[in-house]
Amino acid sequence: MVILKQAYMLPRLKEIPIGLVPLIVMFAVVVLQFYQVAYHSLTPWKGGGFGMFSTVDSPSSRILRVYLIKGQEEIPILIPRRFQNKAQVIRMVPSMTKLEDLGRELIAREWVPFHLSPAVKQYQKLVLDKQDHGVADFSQILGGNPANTFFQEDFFSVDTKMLRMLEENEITVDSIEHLKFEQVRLEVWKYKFIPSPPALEAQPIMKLIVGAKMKVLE
Amino acid sequence: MIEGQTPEEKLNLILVLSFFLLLLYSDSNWYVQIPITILVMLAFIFPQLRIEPKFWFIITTIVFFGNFRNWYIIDNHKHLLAYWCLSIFLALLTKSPFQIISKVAKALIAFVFLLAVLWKLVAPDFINGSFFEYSILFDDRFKILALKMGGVTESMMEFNEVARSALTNYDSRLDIVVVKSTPGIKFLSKTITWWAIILESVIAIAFLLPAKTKISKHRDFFLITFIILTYPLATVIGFGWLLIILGLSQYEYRFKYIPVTYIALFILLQVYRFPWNQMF
Repeated sequence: MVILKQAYMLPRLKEIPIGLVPLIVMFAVVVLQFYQVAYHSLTPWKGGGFGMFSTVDSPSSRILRVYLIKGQEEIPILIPRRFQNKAQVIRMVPSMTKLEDLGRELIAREWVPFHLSPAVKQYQKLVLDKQDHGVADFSQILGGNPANTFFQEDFFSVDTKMLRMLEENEITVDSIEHLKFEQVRLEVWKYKFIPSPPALEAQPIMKLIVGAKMKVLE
Repeated sequence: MIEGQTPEEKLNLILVLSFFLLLLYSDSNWYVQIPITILVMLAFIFPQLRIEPKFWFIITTIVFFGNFRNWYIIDNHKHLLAYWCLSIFLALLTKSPFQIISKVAKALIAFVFLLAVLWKLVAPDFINGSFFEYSILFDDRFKILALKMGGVTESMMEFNEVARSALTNYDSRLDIVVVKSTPGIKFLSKTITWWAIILESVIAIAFLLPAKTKISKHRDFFLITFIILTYPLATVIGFGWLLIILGLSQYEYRFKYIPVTYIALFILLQVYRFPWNQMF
């Protein structure tokens, strides 16, 4: 058994209730969390208040719905990966400022239709594109594998009616239309469990339209 | 933690266990995990570092920094871990660090459970059983309970999952979806609800009251019962380990098998991580 001898201690501290300091810090955090739950829609599961497993209002019951707006049309979108952390924080503790910040990021970007197509077909389409994006002529090295042969036909893809955000410096083929939007609507919801009859019911926490004319909806 | 151990020996054990906890269950972000791993390694190689206040100040700062950066994302036990690191640092500044740690551990357990009970009492969907009914129906960790004791079928669970996905999907405009439940689930949820409130209230009271009171003398039994029954389902193992360390720290020698039981719980919580759901 290792017996350790303390090399350093402050004198007379045994009289000072030093053990209260962590408890004071804990209570400060708890008070802050209570305030944020009460006034800023923080989920009780987070923030250091020890409210986990006490309510259905957990991070997984929070929903962020985002719609890009063009005229009368509203297109729902998946939150792009680069904004997932922001979206997660918005779900936990929504605020108009955070919604506006995310909204401005989204309308600053370009969007393209999202087609589901197999990876091989995507590769073939890019290589055969006239601008060929700097890809060298591989025809001499394709060899006898028929799978390497490119076909000039419609490439199989599924029109999902989804949009995806174009990343910076991303290359697309010319035929794909880049879309820009002037407004985006962001909505934060939370659902609760109704026991009888059993159902999940979503209720809006906050709604905001960000764009040329900002509008708070709820 | 056996009778006859000196405070220094007890302190060493608590510190070693705390290092294991930091190594395995602290923040997974690189700016916390990498320095903490290095520091814990150093503490195992150079034992004198374990009781060095400056060493624990560095650990505490890193843990608090990680918590601050991820304030709204981290689980509650990460906050508790930060308070524990702070407690160790401050205790090591005194002449009787184990005494300080012991008192703080008891207080931390008391207030954690007090807060947990308060939240349960103020949340309308806990008291009426909705929270556990929802959890049993939708949380994978309760699946075995739902299927074996709640009278729920696999197709019902699948229906519920599809319903929830329809509500939460990115393009959903629904604001309500029906789900399926059973009388068995409702009974189970109400039973677990009141069991949780009663047990956690008893723990809070037992740890808040002075050690001389009858209920406080048995506080370790209540805490051990809570750990054994809770963590098969609420698999937040880091929280469980931290409660065990706090329990060991505040334990006053009354029942000689309590310390061994606490130690055995470390192993039991790892056994709970087996994929039992897939086996049955």
